[in-house]
Amino acid sequence: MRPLILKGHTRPLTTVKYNTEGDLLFSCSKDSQPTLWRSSNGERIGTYTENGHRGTVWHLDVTVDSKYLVTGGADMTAKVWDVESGKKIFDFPHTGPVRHVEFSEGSQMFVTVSDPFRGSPACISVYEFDPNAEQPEGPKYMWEVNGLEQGKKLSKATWMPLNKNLLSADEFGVMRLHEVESGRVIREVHEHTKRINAISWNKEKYLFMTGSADCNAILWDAAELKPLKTYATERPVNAVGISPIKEHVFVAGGQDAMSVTTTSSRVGKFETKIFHMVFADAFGSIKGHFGPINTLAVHPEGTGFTSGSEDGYVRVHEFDPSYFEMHSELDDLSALQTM
Amino acid sequence: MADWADDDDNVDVTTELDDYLPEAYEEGPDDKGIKTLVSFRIQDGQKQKVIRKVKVVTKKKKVSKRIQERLAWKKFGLAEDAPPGPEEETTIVSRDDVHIENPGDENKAQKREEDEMIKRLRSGALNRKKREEFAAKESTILGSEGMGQGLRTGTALSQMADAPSSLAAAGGPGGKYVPMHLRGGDAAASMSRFEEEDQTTLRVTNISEDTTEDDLRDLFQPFGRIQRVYLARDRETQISRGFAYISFHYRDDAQRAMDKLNGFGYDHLILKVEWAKPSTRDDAGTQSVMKAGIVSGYGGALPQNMG
Repeated sequence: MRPLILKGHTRPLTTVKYNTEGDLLFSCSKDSQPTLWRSSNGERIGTYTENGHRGTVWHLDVTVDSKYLVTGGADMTAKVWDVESGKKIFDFPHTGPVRHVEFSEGSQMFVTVSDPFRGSPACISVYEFDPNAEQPEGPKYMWEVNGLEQGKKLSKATWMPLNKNLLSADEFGVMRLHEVESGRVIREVHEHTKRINAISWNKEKYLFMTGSADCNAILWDAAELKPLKTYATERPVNAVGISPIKEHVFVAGGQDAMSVTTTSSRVGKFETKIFHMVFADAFGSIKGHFGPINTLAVHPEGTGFTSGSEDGYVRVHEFDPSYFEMHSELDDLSALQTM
Repeated sequence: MADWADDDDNVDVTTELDDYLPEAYEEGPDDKGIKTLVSFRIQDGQKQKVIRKVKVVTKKKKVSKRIQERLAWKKFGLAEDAPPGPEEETTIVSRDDVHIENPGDENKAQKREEDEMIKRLRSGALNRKKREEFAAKESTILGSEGMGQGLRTGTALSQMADAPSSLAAAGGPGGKYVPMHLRGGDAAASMSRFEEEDQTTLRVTNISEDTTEDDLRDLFQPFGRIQRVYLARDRETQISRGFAYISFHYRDDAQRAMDKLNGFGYDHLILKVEWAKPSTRDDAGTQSVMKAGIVSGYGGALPQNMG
């Protein structure tokens, strides 16, 4: 395959994301210009820069109908945009840099994670999302995470199936299951030992994957919150993804940006690895970036994936027909087991 | 009268005519499906005609209504003024074909590096001391590969023995650099011999059109580790032109592949496998100099006794 290389950003990528149908691709980076691309041909449709973020944009998410975009940035705001026109609709001020934003299932709420800043602690805020409101309303629920030391950071927060709970992840690899309204911790899971960099759900939302700086990616059963498989790599994992059509998972990462200049690209392991989901066996790797991969998104139809790297490039991969025909002995075996 | 130095350098002297750019137009697609897009632009004060050839492939796919609606979206933000379609500045199609590689090969990366050293060693880019150090290391590496590789060890070492002589040829007496044109015929002769010995590339002809680089890789892989597979394609249509070059790491592997696969029936055609010849002798001579050591940015040789 010949990947499309998107050069819209001048700084390291922080997030790439497909919309529901997979025809649109959103990217954001440390250069404060969230960008919309057409995933089929790599055409840049627009940038969300009018009265936009100042500084790094850490994360973004799009509503299920692809109409609205929410972005969270280091300028301590989350912003809501009209996807088609690129106009900003709302600003949501926070007490610290916004690390993570995520729409709930059905896109009627969204959650933000903000960093500790000048004495205010790391916070999780849940907003009602009403694009037609006159004024942006403050958070509906807002709480600190019990058990997280003062001044320490959270990295992610994700909605559990049917928006029943929220799952937070912190910089020590601890995950906590919360009540949405109060933030009461229902369960605490210690499986990773270092910062959790990525959480990614499968299409049906009964499995999810976490990637951590401890070099492991873990596949979880969402209902039981129980680890199913561990995919071990030799580098910090920054991004994970689950294929919607095959029993494949994607794991990407690389060394810290700090130590990159002192190592060769081969040692840095800046490739995306593909593991068999069940057998946890790395059967393929895709190279191309010359910096650590910070973010990854699998196409909702499983026809390809996109990765964004510290090197400032987004690479859109569309699998060759041989990928779809690919038939491993492992697949035979798993077919046998389901019989 | 005003001094010439007072003149504003940035004075706009372009008339309307100078700014005139012909309209962009497209031609085709022709019978091969090639569409030619011609546009004009001004860059660095020069008018340039940009010709892009695009192969048009029609694929029918059913998409949802929403996707169809979104295709008509206007561009906005920094892309507002851009014409429809991908912009050259922001979107490029990778030139490199990316494969899903087997990560098992990764463990061999260390070995690959050592191979690289061997290669450099052969071409005389290392100084004597390093060479000796490495010779010791190499013999242990190759020795540890087991009995099957015994032959290979022999070749590698014998080629190493050759290395100093070819180094001398490139460097002249006393290690002093002698330019190409001042060297004797001997040097040139040894150079071409050197080139031949170094030959690990096979030329494969009479390949069917459907054969891909991966197929060739599969076909030649059993004979040894492959450095590179190049399948010649039509520049425009990307259809195979029926020949390919396969570079092995070792000449022995290439030799065995040639012995086995020359005349082999593959996909209704009979393959012809031979050593790839350099296009011209002269060319090969220069190339081997380039390969043999440290060169300056202009392709000229720099002193070879560094290190």
